[in-house]
Amino acid sequence: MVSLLSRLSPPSRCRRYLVVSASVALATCASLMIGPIISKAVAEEKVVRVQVESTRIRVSPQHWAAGVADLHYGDRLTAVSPQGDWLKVRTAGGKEGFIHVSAVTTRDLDFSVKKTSYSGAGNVHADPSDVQTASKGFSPEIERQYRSQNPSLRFDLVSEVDNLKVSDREVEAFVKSGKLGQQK
Amino acid sequence: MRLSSPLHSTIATIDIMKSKRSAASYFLLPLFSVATIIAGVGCSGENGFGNFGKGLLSSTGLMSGSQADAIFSAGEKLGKAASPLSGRQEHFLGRAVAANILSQYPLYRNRAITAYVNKVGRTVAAFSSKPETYGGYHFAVLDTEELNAVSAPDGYVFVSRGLLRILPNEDALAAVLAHEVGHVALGHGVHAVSQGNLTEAVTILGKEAASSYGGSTVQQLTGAFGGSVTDVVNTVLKEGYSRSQEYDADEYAAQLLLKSGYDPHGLLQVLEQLEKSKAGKAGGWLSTHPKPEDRIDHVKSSIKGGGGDGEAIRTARFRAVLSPH
Repeated sequence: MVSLLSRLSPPSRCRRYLVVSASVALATCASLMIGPIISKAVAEEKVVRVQVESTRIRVSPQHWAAGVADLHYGDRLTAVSPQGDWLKVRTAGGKEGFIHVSAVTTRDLDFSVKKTSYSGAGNVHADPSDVQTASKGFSPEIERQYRSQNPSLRFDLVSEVDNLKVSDREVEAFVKSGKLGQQK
Repeated sequence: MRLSSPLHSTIATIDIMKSKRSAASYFLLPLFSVATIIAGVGCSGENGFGNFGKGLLSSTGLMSGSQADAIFSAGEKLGKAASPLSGRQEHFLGRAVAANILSQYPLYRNRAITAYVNKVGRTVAAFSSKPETYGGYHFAVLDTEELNAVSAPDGYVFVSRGLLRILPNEDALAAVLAHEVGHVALGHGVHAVSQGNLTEAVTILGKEAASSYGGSTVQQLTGAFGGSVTDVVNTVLKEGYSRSQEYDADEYAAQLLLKSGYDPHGLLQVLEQLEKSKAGKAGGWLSTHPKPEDRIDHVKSSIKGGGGDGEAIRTARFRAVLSPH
């Protein structure tokens, strides 16, 4: 198979371009296999879950569009319809908005949600204590163990880096003033 | 950024096989081969990042409902297998890698510069294929004259003062950060974890929740975690990614710059500056990346379009923030 392919391969530079394009697209699609999965979820009005620590659904499928509701890891959303790389979703409280597909999953998350609570933003999400106690794999508990074994590591500086936040509004203004955000 | 055909996708898979010690790639290759073919059908939208969907594919006549069902069925399985670690687990891996990096290089504490670097980084990350990670993207500056930029899983990106100093403008800074965002989005950090640590971690991850772990299991998982962290740290700080991964990150950066509105020629400017500045310098990108002249050759062919409005405005604000330092 390999020798057959090598005979069929175009010249090296062209091949390189194709390889990279394919690799990038492959990684895009494979790492975010969410595409087909999410689409299936949409077809079935399936529940998807937020897989990032915090995010928000927005009034339109754009990165700095106004937020409709704040979301947290584990929140359940009903997939309504896809729009490019975005997904229109509905919260348990009935609010609709858009979320980027990289923020949601149909995969099992790293904990079992035993009970839910109402956040006030129209979302049902996992109780933090459940997340803490039922987390699997690489988790805060494992990090604590690792830190105790490696006390010289600068996790304090990681927290400092985490805490320097630039707001969506600041980034949006930055993008506009720099005439960015649109392919030239 | 689209797949041309399953044949080319298979070539890509073979190319991945040739790349250096990418344990996770080997582990996942059979799955990737299938994923590539699926992606070739399901991910060929104009922007390359979307336009997938059962309804879309069947309604446009590209395939029947049953074909779409088969693809989504395969996709569902791949979704579970494509990454051995969840985004949340990558986050803790990334935090520990970042803690190691910050133990070896001092953090440069200049709020104006760090905020500016974050704005540029957040802009390019927003237009990537993975704009949302578990903990979000964080950009910081390392207080070293080494010419370096590194990233950790989940979106920790560091650039050195030495590299900042030789950059001519904001578009070049965006190119550096886009290259690192490329490593994050392409999962290169996780792929650097060796087969042994990955297997051990994944095996344990398949067990019950941490609350039911015994002490020995926690120790075992902590060992796999530590080994995984060391694998990534050694790769990003000492050994470097494979040449093909670096070229992939460059190609990704060129396309990301275009997509976000920056001039992709900024990447060429970075590489040309590296080439000019390498005399008397060692470490960092000069030791962990392919030679700048080789990267220039590869990047040139992938840069299409770019330029246009705003470059003068962006350069002015770049100088306003960075020139005093």
